[in-house]
Amino acid sequence: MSMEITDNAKTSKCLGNTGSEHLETEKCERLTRLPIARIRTLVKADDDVSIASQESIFLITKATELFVECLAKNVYKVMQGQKRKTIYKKDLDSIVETLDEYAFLEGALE
Amino acid sequence: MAEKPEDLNLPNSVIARIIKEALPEGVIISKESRSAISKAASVFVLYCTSCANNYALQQKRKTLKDVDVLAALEEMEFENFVPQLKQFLEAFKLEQKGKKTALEKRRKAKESSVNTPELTSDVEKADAAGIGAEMGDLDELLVMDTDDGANNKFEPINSN
Repeated sequence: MSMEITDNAKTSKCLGNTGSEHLETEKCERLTRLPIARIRTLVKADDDVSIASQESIFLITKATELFVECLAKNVYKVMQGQKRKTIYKKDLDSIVETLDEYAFLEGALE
Repeated sequence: MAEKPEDLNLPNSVIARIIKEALPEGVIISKESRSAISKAASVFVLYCTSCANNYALQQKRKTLKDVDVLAALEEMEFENFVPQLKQFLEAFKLEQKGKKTALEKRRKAKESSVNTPELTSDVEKADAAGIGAEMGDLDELLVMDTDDGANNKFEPINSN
């Protein structure tokens, strides 16, 4: 399945390339890094969800990638002013407490 | 339905890579915080799904759609993700369309090659099996099963 993730760094370059003849050989386009199938499993875990379109699963996958990236950057900002090079869990806890958008994580990371 | 705990986790290698690329060189992330970020990502998926589904239900729809996810992200205060996600979505839709076209072309090519006398029925069966496998793969990407079978059809390959 062509949506399988690899460590291929071409992911971010795929946006402009739509050569349909390449798509037949599947492996050229990698729009996601996280595996869509795994995200679909998580979405299915919600009993209130009956059907989800392909596009919605794809969007949640990409949004999660952006979320991880953003979270890492925000955590970095916390420890940046502290003259150390290692990010610890407490930095993450600090963000969950202070930034509104991460409030949903409260208590979830223990 | 029962899920194993590992099914709710996202692959550590991918999470680690995304984190690494988001941070400047030389910054180290402890194993505990990496694991916590991974957990946070799983929680994010569940929360996003729930918000999106609420939005769909408000619109009196049973199917979770892309617009629901985008609306959910705005509500969750991740509206800054939306412009990029719209671009990614366009690329995804193009790719899906391309796949359908490619499969259709391949199917038509095989149908016409079946008419040539030198091919045996074994070859025909093998080709059909090949297409069947690909269509099975596509099916995995399409809508999830529902218990009552409603709307549980994938779009026929030849409809655009």
